Amino acid sequence: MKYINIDKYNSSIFIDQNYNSFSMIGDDAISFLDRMSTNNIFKINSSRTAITDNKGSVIDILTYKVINEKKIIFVSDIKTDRSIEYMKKYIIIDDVEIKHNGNLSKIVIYSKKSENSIDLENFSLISTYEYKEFMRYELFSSDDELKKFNKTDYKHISIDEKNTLDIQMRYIGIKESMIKANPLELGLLDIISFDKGCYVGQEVIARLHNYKKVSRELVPFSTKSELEINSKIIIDSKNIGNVLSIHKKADGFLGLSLIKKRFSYLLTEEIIKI
Amino acid sequence: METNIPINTIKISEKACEKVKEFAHNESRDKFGLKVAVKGGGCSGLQYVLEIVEGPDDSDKVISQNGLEVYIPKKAYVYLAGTYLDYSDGLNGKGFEFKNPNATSSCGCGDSFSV
Repeated sequence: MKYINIDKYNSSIFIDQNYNSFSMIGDDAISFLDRMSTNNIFKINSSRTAITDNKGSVIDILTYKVINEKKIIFVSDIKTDRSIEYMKKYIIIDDVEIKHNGNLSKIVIYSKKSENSIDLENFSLISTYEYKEFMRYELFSSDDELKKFNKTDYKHISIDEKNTLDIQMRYIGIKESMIKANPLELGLLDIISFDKGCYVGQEVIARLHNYKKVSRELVPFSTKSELEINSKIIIDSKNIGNVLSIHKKADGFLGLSLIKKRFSYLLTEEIIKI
Repeated sequence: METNIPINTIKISEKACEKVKEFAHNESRDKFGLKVAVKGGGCSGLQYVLEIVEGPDDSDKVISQNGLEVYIPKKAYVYLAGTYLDYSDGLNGKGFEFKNPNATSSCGCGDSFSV
């Protein structure tokens, strides 16, 4: 596969606005989020965690920070209240309340691992993602934090450039309309705890992992035709997967697909011409 | 299995009642009832709670069946209405078993459920 030379985007920055932030408050806040999502909230104070349904499918990904034993702040990937309403369904006798906190901006930074000189001190909500030798940081900031952050050291990139980098790094943001997929298929292994015990969806996710039954994986592709998100990818009359994201480029379209592993070579070796 | 449970109550089999009484007797309890509740937890998100207690809390719904008082917290009632609680013993028995019409799915071990 021919990649765009990511070196020229070294330490690039993209700023997105209007992300709802929330607080989870109460004596049971930490234990509640721990049993509703994949990461170990008791051990890892600041990271991402996937909200999954009881079949192990991802509903949302939260970037969270444990402020103290009774308060967690978080931002939702999907930008709607769907996962908030979903979680509220499971609050019965727990001392937990979920409150809207206000809007934050999202700063996305791409850099090489060895050149990580980003000052993260000013940010309360941070998530990191790595792919090969590259890092992707998401920093959520208030207007004040954003003003303090020195943005001149970075090359500002457009939404199209950002989307291209996300696809190349096999990074998928969760959308409400996305087809059902489990966090193992979406490359979210680093935010799943396999030793913390039960959470909603744990039984299915643990079984897929332990028996090595994860059947699909994220694969970038390029095409001349505009495909719709979630549409099927059919090769030789076989449905081999679905389109998860697609972005227009000068010479066609670039996308990220969720493909049955045994067919993924068809895309990487024969179709992708980035 | 009991199938026609009115949705405004739960039903407990005679065998389950006897088993609760046996547990209470083993604990030398004179005055007791069975609290049936729901809490968050497990692979499907919600778990059943069974507890032998002395009496009901103020907010509990109280049902009497086969000489046993059953206490159900009001918050749990929406998840339990129409449920049949049975007991199966023997080598392959599962102990107390919930047949809950509100549960859309349950985890493999049967300890937790979703609505």
